[in-house]
Amino acid sequence: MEILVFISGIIALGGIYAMLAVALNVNGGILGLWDLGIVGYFAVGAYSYTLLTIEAPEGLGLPMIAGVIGSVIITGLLSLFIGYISLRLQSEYLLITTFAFAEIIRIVAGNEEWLTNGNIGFFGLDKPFQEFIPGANYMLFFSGLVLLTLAIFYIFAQRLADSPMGRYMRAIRENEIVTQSIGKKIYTTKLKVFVLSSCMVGLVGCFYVWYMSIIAPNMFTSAITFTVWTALVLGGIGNNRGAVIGAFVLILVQEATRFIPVPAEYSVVLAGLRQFISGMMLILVLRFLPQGLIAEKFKSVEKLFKFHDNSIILEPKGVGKNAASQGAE
Amino acid sequence: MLQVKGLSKNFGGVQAVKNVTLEVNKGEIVGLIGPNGAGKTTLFNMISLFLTSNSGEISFLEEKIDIATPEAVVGKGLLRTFQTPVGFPKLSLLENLMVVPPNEGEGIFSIFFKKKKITRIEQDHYDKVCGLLRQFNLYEKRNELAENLSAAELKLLELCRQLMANPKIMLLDEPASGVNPIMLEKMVQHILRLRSEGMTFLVIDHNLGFIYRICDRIYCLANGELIASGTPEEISNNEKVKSVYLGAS
Amino acid sequence: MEYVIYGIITGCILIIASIGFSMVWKTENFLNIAHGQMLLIGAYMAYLFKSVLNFPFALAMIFSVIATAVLGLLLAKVFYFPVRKSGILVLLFTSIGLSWVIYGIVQAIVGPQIRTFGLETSNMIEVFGSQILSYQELFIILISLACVFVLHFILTKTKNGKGFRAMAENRDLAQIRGINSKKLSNYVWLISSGLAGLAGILLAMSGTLNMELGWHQILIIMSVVIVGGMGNLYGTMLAALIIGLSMDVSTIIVPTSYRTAIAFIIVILVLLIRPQGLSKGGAH
Repeated sequence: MEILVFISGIIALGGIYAMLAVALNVNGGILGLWDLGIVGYFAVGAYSYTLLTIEAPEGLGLPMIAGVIGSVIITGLLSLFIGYISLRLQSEYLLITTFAFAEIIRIVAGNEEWLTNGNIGFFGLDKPFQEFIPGANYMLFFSGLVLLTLAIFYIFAQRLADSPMGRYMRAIRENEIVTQSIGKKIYTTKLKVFVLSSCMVGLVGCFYVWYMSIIAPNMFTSAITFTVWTALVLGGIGNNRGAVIGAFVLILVQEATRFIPVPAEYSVVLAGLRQFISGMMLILVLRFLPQGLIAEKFKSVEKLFKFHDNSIILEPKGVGKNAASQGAE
Repeated sequence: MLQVKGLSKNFGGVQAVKNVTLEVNKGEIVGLIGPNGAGKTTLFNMISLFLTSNSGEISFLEEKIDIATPEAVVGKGLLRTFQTPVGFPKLSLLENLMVVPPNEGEGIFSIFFKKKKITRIEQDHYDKVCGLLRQFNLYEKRNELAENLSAAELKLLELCRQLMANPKIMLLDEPASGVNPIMLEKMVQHILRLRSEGMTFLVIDHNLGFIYRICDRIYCLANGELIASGTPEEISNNEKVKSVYLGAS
Repeated sequence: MEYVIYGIITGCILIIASIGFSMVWKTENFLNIAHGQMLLIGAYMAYLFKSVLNFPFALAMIFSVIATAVLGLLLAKVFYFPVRKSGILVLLFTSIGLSWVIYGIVQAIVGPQIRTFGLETSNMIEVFGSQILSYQELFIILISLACVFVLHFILTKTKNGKGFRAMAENRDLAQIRGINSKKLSNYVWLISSGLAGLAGILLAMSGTLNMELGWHQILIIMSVVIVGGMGNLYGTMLAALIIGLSMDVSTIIVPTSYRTAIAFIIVILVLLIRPQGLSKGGAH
């Protein structure tokens, strides 16, 4: 039983990181924005959920669902502001600006005690459906909930990637100037996708709060951003399946070292070893599999068409084809 | 159709383009020649509004466009190609072209709510793209990634991409450079055919034979200034043009 | 007044920490995130020589700077050079991976305790009857001034320095003109890592030594380099002073814990007004 709880714990954590990786893949992988700020939106989502749901005087004591919706909206608004400012910048400059915003958010969370209770944060936070499921089984249920949400994230991101929007996003990633030269408003598009991706991250923030049942600023260091990017690079940038697999592999490797029985005084060595392994994995994958474990797959538009609607004749035959296909519908 | 009046551009004290005035009429093929660094591409960048000019005005279809955005100019039918054609390397040829027309499917949630409509739009675009690819003999490669094409094929793809946006005038930046003679001949045929269908061109190239052959009129630029203009015969006999080209090489 | 002094000291350390980062960005075209961990290595090397092996502090400092420089070059040869052709994104992520590797190794060796060099508190210097700064702080300022002058001399007067500037402009062109870019980039990595090590030691001198030093500093270093204009060395120095000063002077009005946030706010403001950083705008 204990092992089951442990495994479902890993699955829950892996699922949380996988959701983050999928959300990051939407703007970092498919659209190609160098966004190093995701831990910021993660923190905002988590904190706004906590503050909305926790009892007064610290919070508003709203029901859980209102907290979730509220946290997504708040994260969206904040990322709209951040994106509005930073998305005019290119690659490295964008990277540093988003990074800077995430750090500012963490510093604010650690210092504005009236709002966030400073470095102590809040603990003993409620989890969804806690009262219906006995304590021992709860992690099992929670990992199921995480996997379900992950599946929704995945399907959403995959459908988006296959749609004309996905094609347009990849075009921006491949060549911004050419995309501009065919009359596309890339700034607006970037902003929309940026906000979407941040909202997704904000939602995952709620799950993180449920998983940890505490919240404190030191849960939101830039290490999380790097972990998620590492997961994405490991799995394959631009590929949703890669993002999921990369996240699970990374978390599994990191958590597996907890199984090694060592005396307590060596636990620091083990912690160091975990960092070492993650870093080494990233370096080796980049050197020998620059596309990641699963390369971004090229899908023929024609196949996608077939997927959408079988009645459409795929081979156009000259000019008359147009009329023919319209007649067929 | 396209008028440029007194256009100038400074880059940190260096005058890249000085007081250039030129005009392109509907249905014409106009050439723009000059040695490297003469300011030809800078001029293109200003006309397509990728760069803002320091002074002067640009009008297209009797309308001043200086203050518009690059996207708005494309909407009016002014399209430009790039010197080094890369397109979207990791997109297939089909995708390279299908991404061009404005598409309702290019919203985040539209695929989830307007699937039917989008499928229909996509089908129309697909038909148009396939027709275009056939014309340019690229149809067989429609599912290849653009990065696998040869340089000459990329130039053709570049042309196709701009055609997908329904241009009224096309600014071609060195369409002939790095293209072998057989492909060049095809390129010439394509350009002449498009012109016969009513297209207007402004072409930059170093291949003078190519320029003399297709152009109705030619402007010659050196050190950012217009030094000569006229028909191909006039230009080929112009002493200033000769000295600029000999001096530069 | 003392805040201004603190600011100048912070700025001086930042100059040393950022120049190496900026040089690498200029020649190799990527953000070397692992630069922050080189600071960490330098600081712990000095700790090793000084407190474990009981070397005199000056000697410990020299040894650890040299050791960090050599280590930095080795790491670059093993990790960065083989993936140079794969593009800046791969290099960037390799450097992130390398940061983790270094961080993990250092953590496994030294553990989580916070350490200090155990230097004796030095006397204050009295100017016009008021105590302004300690000898230690004066030492930090002098050493960074010396670094700046030596670097300036190397860049403008020596053959390699001129080669470096040519290479920073255009690597291919420099190669055509017969500049040995391989040898030069070895020098760049040596100097960059050595300076990082030195900055780490100075930082640990003026405060304590902990594991998060590398991650913390790399953010501020990136801010400095961005504000200074991409890879512009003199702009970087100016930016380091500005950011150092504003971080410390701002503590008069805002809580000390917001010190680093000030640096980031400056970066965001600068990028909004001048997307290319401070110095580029002046040149044109």
